[in-house]
Amino acid sequence: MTKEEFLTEMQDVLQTEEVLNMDTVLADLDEWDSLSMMATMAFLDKNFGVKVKIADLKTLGTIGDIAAKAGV
Amino acid sequence: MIKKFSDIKMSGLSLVLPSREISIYDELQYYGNSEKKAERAHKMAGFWKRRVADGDVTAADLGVAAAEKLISSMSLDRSRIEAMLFVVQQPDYGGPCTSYSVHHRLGLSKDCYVTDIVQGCVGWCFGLLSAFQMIASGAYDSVLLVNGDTPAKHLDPSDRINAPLFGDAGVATLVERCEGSPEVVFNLDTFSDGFEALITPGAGARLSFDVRKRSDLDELTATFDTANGRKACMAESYMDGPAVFEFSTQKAPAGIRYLMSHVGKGVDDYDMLFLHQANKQIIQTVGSNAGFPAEKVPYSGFENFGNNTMCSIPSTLLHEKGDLLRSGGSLRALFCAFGNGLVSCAIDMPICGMKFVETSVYERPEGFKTTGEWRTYWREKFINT
Repeated sequence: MTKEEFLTEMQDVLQTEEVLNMDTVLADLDEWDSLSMMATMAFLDKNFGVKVKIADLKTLGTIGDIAAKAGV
Repeated sequence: MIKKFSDIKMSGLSLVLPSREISIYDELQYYGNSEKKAERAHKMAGFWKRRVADGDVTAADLGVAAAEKLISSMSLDRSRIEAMLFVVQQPDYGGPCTSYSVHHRLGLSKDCYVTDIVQGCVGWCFGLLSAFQMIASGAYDSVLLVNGDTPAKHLDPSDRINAPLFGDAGVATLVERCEGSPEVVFNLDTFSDGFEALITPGAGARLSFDVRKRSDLDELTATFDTANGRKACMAESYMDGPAVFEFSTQKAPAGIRYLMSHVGKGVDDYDMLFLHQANKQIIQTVGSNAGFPAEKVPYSGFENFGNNTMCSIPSTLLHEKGDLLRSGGSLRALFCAFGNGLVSCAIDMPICGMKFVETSVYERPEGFKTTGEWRTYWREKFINT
């Protein structure tokens, strides 16, 4: 998956209308809530085989940090 | 652990749902008054509608209603019902078995074997296994299985973690000997190392709260802060979220795959996989980990009725395939429930030629007493003894 594809996928995962980029700050996103975190965990597991805990996700700052976890 | 049964089938299924339906679209105050935000919760988490019983209605009430419907519609002779199992998480009383009360309310005979089975979300699947075993032993020709649970009725709607999740329901199932019925295979897996992962610790002998003592009652109900900022008290149920998620999404699919390999079947040999409707995300993850395509793994039970614990699989089965089963049609069903214990139970059940299938709405029977009236009743019993 390319970085661009990842950003498009993440927009759907988070169910947001915001156009995302790697620098998007999660804390600034209205939609970065527990629903999104669960959806992100499932997305990373299913598409990249990466298992991330909620506590871990909460420490991430940007969309780019999530991409790094995915190895994108 | 695999158990196989021949010449035994599920011939009747009666689901009773409370009439009160709450939709998240009627609770927009919890979604910033935005229908869009509610839609997002609906899409992502599957929250939509749930059925909630009145506070005076117990699991036994819903179970009795379901059983009454089944008995009268199938014209069963009550005096010849040989066995009745009542599966429950919240018995009516501290003791004896609520099944004695259910037996009495249904007018069953002294020849009827009854007992409670205390189980949570696996309660319908586990109850089916118990019923099949009893008939396979040769000692019984039929078993009336009754299930009921009311996890939703006492939830405060402002508790947005729990309230949108749960629903209440009662189910009655008739299991009987039937020559020529296709083989039904169960896989029951017991994970007791997870005993503490999903538990209601307060109300039992281990913590020994004596509610007659003010000091014990205070300790049981006092709220305290938890590490993640919410308040808890000892009377609540406890869940190790990550452990339960790991169990549900790893062990349940493994149990399904093991069952399938044992019977030599693949995904194409089943019309649908009916999972315990824990929540949309768990359903999708378990289904996918078991190798099933999303269209064969419905979460409509969760969306329409909430997670009604042990009743969630029959709720989903009837919602998806009620018309087919009502007309006596066939369905190659695979069931899998997973819940507190921790325990998971998968069932390969080819369903065909059912005699009675119905979903109905709960109505208070004549002579129904409210909780307040019951308290008065028992106080007077104590006073007059």
